[in-house]
Amino acid sequence: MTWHLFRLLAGRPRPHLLLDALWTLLRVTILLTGLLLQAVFDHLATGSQDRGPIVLWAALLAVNEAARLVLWYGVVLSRVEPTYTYTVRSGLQDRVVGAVLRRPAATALRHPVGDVVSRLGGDADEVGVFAIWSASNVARLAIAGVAIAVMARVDAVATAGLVAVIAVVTVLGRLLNGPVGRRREASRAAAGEVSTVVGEAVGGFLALKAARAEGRMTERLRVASDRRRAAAVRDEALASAQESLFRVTTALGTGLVLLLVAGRMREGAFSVGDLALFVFYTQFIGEAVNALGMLLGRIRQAGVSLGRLGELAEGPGEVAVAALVHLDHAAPPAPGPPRREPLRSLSVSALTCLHPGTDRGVRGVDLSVRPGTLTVVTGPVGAGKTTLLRALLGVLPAGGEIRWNGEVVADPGAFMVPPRVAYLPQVPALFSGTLRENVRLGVECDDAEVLRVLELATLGPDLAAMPQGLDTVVGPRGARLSGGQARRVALARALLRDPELLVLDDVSNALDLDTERALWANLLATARTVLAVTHRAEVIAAADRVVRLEAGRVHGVVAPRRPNELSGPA
Amino acid sequence: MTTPTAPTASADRPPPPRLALRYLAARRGALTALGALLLLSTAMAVVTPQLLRRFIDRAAESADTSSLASLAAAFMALAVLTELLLVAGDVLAARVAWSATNELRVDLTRHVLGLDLAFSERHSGGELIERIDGDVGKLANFFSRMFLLIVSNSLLLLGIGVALAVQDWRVGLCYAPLVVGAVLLLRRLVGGAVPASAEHRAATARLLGHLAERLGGLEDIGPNGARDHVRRGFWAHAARLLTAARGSAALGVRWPAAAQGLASFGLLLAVLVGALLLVSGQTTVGGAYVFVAYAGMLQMPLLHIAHQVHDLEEALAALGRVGELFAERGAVPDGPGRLRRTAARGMAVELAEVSFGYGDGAFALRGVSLRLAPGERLAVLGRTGAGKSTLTKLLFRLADPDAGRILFDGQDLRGLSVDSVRRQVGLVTQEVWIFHATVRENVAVFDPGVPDEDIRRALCEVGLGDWLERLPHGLDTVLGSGGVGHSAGEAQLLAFARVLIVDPGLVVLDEASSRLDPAGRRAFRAAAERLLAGRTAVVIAHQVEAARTADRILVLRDGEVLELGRREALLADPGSEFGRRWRAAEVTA
Repeated sequence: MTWHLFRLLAGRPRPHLLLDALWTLLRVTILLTGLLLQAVFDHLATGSQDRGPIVLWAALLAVNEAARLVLWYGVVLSRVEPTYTYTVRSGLQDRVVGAVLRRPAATALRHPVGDVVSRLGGDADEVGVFAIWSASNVARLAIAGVAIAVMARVDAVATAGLVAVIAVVTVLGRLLNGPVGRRREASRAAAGEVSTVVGEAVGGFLALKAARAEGRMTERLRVASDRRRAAAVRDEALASAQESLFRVTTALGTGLVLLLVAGRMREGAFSVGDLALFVFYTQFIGEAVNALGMLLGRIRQAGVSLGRLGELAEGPGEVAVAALVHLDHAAPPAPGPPRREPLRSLSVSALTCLHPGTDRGVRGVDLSVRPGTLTVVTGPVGAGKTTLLRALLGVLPAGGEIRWNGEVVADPGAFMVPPRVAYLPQVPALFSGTLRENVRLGVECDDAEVLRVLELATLGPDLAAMPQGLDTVVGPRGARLSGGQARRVALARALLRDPELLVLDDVSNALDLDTERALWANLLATARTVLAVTHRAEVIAAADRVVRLEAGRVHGVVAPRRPNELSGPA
Repeated sequence: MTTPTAPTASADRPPPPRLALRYLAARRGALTALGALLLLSTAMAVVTPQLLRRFIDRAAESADTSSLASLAAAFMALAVLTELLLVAGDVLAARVAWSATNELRVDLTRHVLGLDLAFSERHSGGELIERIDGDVGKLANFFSRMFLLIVSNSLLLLGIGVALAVQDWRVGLCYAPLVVGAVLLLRRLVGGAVPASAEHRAATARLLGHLAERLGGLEDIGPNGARDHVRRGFWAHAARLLTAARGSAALGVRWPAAAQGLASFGLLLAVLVGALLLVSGQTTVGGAYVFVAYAGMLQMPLLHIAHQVHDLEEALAALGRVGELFAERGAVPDGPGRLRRTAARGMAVELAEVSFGYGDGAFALRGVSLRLAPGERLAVLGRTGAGKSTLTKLLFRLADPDAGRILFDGQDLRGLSVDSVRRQVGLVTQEVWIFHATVRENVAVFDPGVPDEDIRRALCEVGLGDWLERLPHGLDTVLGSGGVGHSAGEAQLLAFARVLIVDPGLVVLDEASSRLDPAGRRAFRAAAERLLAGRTAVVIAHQVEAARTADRILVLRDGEVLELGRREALLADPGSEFGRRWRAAEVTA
């Protein structure tokens, strides 16, 4: 997985290199501050009364500090890093979403939606943060190397001692990670116990009163709280010790340097300026050693996250690509929809689609739809009616052959789209947003057009009762509309696409008889060709062709053909 | 005309700091020790750079190596000791914090459990849990981390100031306003970043919400040609998120930038002041260096204080909410007497002209009078809102009547302790709360004094003997969420067993069987017979079937008595509403 991680970052090298360069520059200013302090104290130690150099050093120090401040906060943290991390993040998210959209819709998600979304959030975040963390720490390690070289030139022994002390204490601190984690876990578990008891005290309010057990419940809470206190104090004590160990590293390093240079300092071979330099660099080197200790863990963690994202698509190779991002400009429209070509014939042969691990579904279905007709699919519950429509549209993966105007359809999911087809699923989905947005769903058109299809979908009276009209907000998943309203909005969405073939899965659901009659009349008067699942006898009677499914197989095709009975007097 | 008035509760609500002090005062000893630890560790942290100074000055005087080495060793020892003291302080603070908040949480829970039903109906369970668990939890953090960090860092800043003033009083004089100004500035900047970071989080949530909805509606998207639309929507959200992230970063870097700037400014000042004093012969090289060392120590305490002050404000708000809860008062005051049962065969119950309302001007019960001899059984019938449940509340003394009196065995409930009244009333409601605890604890409701034999006998008597046999660990089997499952009927029978254990003089069944299936109802009826035998009973139901075994019938309508009488008498009366409904039910049965 590490390989994919590096491939992802290397695929878009410029922002990473820019960030590397900026962090390097930034840490060079830290080196410079140390060197300036060294110069100041060396000058002061001479006992010279000349203030000139001091003023110069101080001015340079001021410029250097200001430069770091601007670079760090004004450029890196506030601009470059957010842009880079979100570029990586959005790129990963887009690759995953793209892969999901390409697959047959009903089987596109291999994990529950909640899990997929949590990965798109958390795991993409992890990789995005790694991108900037790695840039910052590559520079940190490089400059720490330079700092060590500078110090070694002054006193190699003291430098070696300093680095050794820092390394040992850092390793000790990291050894505490295991116990710290275990105690944190115990503390959380104890906290969970307390929450449970509190929940029971509140939820069982009346039961406790009825048994006059208020005091006993309070006692129970006291016991759980005491247990939690013990666990929490142990947890906090160890965490504090670990933090303290990291803090004391600098002091121990400094003390060791003092010990090692004492002799040379007395002889004048190690100056006060050198000491100032050493003390100033100690903390910086401590941070670098700490980062080095975290490096492998961070790489592994980011690799795991990338792998989890890869599972949502066709593997990490598909997502670990520096894809085009559209963060500073609107995304360009995709190549337009296929050219409209009138439906001349649609034939399906030996269509088979079984639900994995069962023998339910449809098998060996032959079907043909002629232009300008109503074809009805009917049959008992569980006969495979919905599966047939889904297989035809590529919503479910299926075997067999589909021919559209004589041409074999290789990828139904990609081919069966407007203006060829439009679809009303059995359980249609609306999305947060307005009525207008839900009907259009990306189609460019004016409000008159939207109103026309809503009218056709018999939503006119409902719309008249909505003060906001097309701006009415439908709520999450359309929750503010009734079930029947949501179906008709989804139907209007399909009608707006004016498809050659309109595919409807059970329009009647949640509609009263009068509304449904009006709806069918509208559909038959306007739609070009309709393929519909329905139980309604009147609709079946009006169909040009009725396909009866039973247990996944075609059980007869009839042509009742009593034209125009539903569309009313012509 | 009514004018809105502040709730009287606010009058005796203690201000948040005083509430906190009440719990801290009990830990005066530990707090004193903590204060001493903090003072000592701060003093040591401030003294440590002075060792550096001495080291530098001695080296300049070419003192012997061993005295330099001992200074270096002292420097390390002091640093390690300081850290040890800080860790000890952390541990002590954690103990104080957890014991104080544990006490607060237990007190708060006891207080809430002592409030009346009206209170629990006003506040959702989630809200109360958030107060008792969430808000009090924030306080633990406040007592341990925030409090410690604010105090120790303030002490450190103060200590550095004192050290500077000792070295040169003019430097000390300049230092004070700089530090105070810095803290105020940082506090403002920390607070200023909050709305932008909230917007950043909201933009993240919107992006993920967009994806979640579309991923849940894939079947609509593909065949309707909206794949590209979904991706463009995603990019629009992603672009807005980046804008929000940049905005949040731009505001969010202000406080660390300011802290870093202050530190840089301090360093520059230290270099200049040190050089100036040195050149004019007022300090040594070591003395000049100490200024730089102290300047390097300023940044962390400044940042900590700015952050913790922000968190402190939130903790005080939490404390305020806890105080509000403490100010809630129950409506049922204890009387001086204790209820004593005079007859073995249940209690005599009398209602005399009882009226009760929920404060909205309307009566839930009005002028209800009735008498039950010991061992008599009353069925209360009526539609939803007729006042049946209010009657339950009054009998269980979850509230007192606004007018009229309720007497058990001739004693007015108002003159009795609430606890002694409830001791004699076995209440079984429609919803049974099963605790996440063992069967034993569930039946005895956490009373460890109930012998296992009694619990087994009670379970057998209500028909749960076979059920108990089948449990994997008998009485030790854990029920409730995550434990062994149970049906609604079994829960109801378990509630009967709870009542049997207590052996009260009056049993009130409030719609107890209404959620059971037919099989559950048969078991319920058999168990109810055993439970009610030898006790006065009030059975409340909206189904007439409940009156099957009742001696007396009360029919309520809109809070008033529509009919009250012996069952046979009402059945014989052709004009009786109860009789009419009884016959209608018989016909359909």
